[in-house]
Amino acid sequence: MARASPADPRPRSFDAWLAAAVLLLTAGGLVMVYSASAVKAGTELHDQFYFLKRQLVAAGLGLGLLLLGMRLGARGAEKLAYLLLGVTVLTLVLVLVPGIGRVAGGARRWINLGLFSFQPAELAKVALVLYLARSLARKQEKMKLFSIGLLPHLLVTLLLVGLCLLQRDFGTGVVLALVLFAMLFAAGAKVSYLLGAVLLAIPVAWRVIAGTPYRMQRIQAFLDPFQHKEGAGWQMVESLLGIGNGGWLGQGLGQGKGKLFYLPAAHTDFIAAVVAEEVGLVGIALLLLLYAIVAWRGFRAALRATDPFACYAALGLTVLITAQALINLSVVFVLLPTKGLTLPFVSYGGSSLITLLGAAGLLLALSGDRGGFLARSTPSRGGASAAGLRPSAEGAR
Amino acid sequence: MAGGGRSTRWVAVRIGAVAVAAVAGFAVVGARAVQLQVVQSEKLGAMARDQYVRELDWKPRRGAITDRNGAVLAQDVEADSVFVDPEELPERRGPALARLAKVLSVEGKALERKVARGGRFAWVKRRISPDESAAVRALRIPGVGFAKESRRYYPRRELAAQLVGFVGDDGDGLEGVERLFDDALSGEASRVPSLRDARGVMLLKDAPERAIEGARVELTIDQGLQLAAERALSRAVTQARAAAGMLVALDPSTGEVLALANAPTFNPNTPRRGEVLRNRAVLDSFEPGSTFKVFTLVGALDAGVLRAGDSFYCEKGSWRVGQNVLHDSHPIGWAGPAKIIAESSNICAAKVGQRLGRERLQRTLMAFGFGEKVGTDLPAEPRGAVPFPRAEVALATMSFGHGVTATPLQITAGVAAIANGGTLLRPQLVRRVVDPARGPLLQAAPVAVRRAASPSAAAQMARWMEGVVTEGTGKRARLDGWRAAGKTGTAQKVDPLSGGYSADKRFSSFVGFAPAEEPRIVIGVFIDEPRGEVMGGEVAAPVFKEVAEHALRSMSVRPSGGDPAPREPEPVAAADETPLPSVEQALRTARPDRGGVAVPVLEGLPARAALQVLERVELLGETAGTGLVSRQAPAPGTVVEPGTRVRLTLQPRG
Repeated sequence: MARASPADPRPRSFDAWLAAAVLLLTAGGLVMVYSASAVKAGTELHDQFYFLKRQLVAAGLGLGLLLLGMRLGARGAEKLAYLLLGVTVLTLVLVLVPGIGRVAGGARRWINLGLFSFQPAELAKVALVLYLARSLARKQEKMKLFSIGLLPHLLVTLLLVGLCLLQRDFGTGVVLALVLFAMLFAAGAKVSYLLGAVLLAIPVAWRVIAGTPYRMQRIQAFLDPFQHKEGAGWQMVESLLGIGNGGWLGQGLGQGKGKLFYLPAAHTDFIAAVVAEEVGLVGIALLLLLYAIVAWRGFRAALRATDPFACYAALGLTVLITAQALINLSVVFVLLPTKGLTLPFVSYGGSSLITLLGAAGLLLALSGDRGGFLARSTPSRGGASAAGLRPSAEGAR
Repeated sequence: MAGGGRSTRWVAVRIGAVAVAAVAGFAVVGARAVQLQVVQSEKLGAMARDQYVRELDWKPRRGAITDRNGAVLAQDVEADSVFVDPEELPERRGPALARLAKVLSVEGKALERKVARGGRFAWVKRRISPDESAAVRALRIPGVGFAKESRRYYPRRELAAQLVGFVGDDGDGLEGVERLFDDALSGEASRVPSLRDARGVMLLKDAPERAIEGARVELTIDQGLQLAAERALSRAVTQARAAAGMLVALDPSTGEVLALANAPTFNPNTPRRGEVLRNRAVLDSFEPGSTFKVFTLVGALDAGVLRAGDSFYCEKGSWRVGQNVLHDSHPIGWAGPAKIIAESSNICAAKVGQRLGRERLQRTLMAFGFGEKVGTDLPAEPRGAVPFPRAEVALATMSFGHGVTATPLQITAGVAAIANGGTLLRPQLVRRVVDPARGPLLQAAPVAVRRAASPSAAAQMARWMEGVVTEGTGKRARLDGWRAAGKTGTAQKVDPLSGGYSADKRFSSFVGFAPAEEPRIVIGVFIDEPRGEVMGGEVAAPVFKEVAEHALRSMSVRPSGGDPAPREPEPVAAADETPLPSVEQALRTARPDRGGVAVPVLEGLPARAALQVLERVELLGETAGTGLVSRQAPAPGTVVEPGTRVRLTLQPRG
């Protein structure tokens, strides 16, 4: 019943809002990556365009993947879900093998592919979304059951999170967990189970944090960054100074000072601080607006999906992008302790940009589908609820 | 179906809930952005600027000191300073340091101690020569580095050393004009905000707005004349085995000091200590002796107690005044004022002084600027003493220049007042002080202090002084081609031990001017403690002659009528019918301007003279053809850098 026939008569449309938001984020990201990395690249690698060139190549590949994702559509993605999950788990394990996994910044996260390094954790996010969407769509009626609705999903997610943690990638773990909870919640899992899982997760998370000295230091530094200015708080302090220095309109594009070796990871995880410093609150507002558009179109796509898989996949991808953006910004704004997450579409990082653009392509395909699974089953009330939701999502601009 | 409907409705609601959570997330992040970028922006921004911005003290290059024609006497040049980073030195640092010490001729032990003191920085030697720098680089010792520092360089070495002065290790003016105009030369240090990156590298964003060079001080001296004066003076001091010598040359119509020499002298590039640094011509006062008879007699003329036709009995060289006996070195009998001056009779000068009286003698001397500061602003410039001559003998001796003291500059300036018809002009050492950004800070103009004598009295005295040179004590000051006037002086010096006059220590001088009919230059030559021949007419007058002739020649002053032609007649001009432009005229067209030189008008000059003019204003000449200059490039009046090449096209005369 829930599966719509492949020959859906409804016309497909192109979501220009979503496409524009994603492309603007990517383009703005290229500008900011250059601005944030030119000095570092010029000084250390004697080529101020070093990072920009690589990011341009990644953007090109990503756009290709985006078009592929659009062609693939919900059907193709559903078929690929398990394959992708398998590849992800395999590569996540491979990364841990010395000789294959490449270490950078104290973390073994990359697989060297010659010209490029590939970061499987980025793939894991999309793989988990597709797996959960497919699995949840099939178990619709049995979601309330612990053993069927909760346990398998929890185990798969825990496996992925665990592999990420082995790569010292706490940030991806958090995003994966959030995606899992959002999707389980939407698919009708009992709230009590979810709360229970959270309660169980807290001591585990505490162990993970307290058990690794660098994470503990980050927490302490987060609580009072200026006290730890010379150590773990340095990055946060520099981030805050740059953001504050930006003010309303910023110092002007290219005029930021944080990138002069003050702010670590200026072109990757902390690129938002450079945006804030150079383009000011206006730039940050624009950034939030673009993510809000992505979120709005994503939730809208979920509500208007033709079938459960499309619905859950749209929701999962939307939560993935939105949560990662919000967590990254929260870290940069020192609302959360430092994690190690990129700002979607904007930060330097090939694996992240390519997979996210691929995911965006899929979301575009889902967003292009018109109505179906939710609207059809509850013609009046479902439509009303969807209509009622829209403004709130829009209000997030 | 109904269950499915319910569950799907719940799916929509729950998606809505997730969306609401997202909205909350956006709200929190947005609010935080506003808090950081609006509310706390000022505080955080200030902290950020504290970190990025460092005020750099941008010290301008010290300005140059030049002569009146722009010839550089002192300027800043860049020099290497050598330092070591002990941590980067090779393992066995002993031999490396020993080699370094040897190349730089510093003490090896002291260097080892400096390095052993620890830290990551120690100066080895500052402001080294280019040769030393090259030698150190050739050693290729790791950990040895260079820093550029500016060093004061005096390209003409000893020239006007005491006047120009010198600077200390940190570039502060310690002596002379370097000290007097220290502020102007240093310029104003501007604080330039510059960026500092996290590695400590300074990134200068904006060039400083203010001048990068301090003001240029242009002295009144002419380096050519100064050189001639120093050479002549030094030779005289050596020949007379004197303790010291001083020479002052003034332009009597402006008061500008054209030369100011002291012997012995020193090379300011390697500063020394002691008496040799002292600008004695300005700072030391002496009992002047007979040169003061000039002022006594001028005072008497103006007071109406002396006429040209008066006659005095000079007592054949010995005259008792109270308990003292005055002597003349050339005993004479009856003498008029002309002869009193020419033969320099102390006894008759004392008799004129008696006629003038105590008050009027003192007043006359003070009118000529004695007993008051000349006003050069050089530190510790003395007034000189002109006490009231209470005793009979004091009046007598003061009349011929004892019992008073004066500096060589004061004496020469006093005689300049005779030469220009009676006006005492303030001697000036500095013509202009020009700040490259703000323009002239000082532009000297002649300052008349007062009328010291009537024009008629001054003219009368000038004629008498000409007699000194033609037939009196100063015959050795006679010039080849020009009429000169002057007065000799040979004063006994006070013996510091006995308090009385020393038997053999003399202060010998000659102060004169030329040409007598229209004085262009006044020169005072002072020899302190000559040995052997001591008379001013013998030791000082020849120096006057040499320097005056150089000055008049280089100023192209026409020879005085009736006298033999100058030794060096202008080589080609003599045969020509139309008078050719003179070197001096051409030079006047090359007014140095803000460090540049205006190309002088050279048309019509013979090639040699034109090249001479160019050399004087520090330009290079390049000739094509033979004869007189017919064309020149760049055009006259064009302001160019010193050292610019000027192309001269020559054409045969006629």
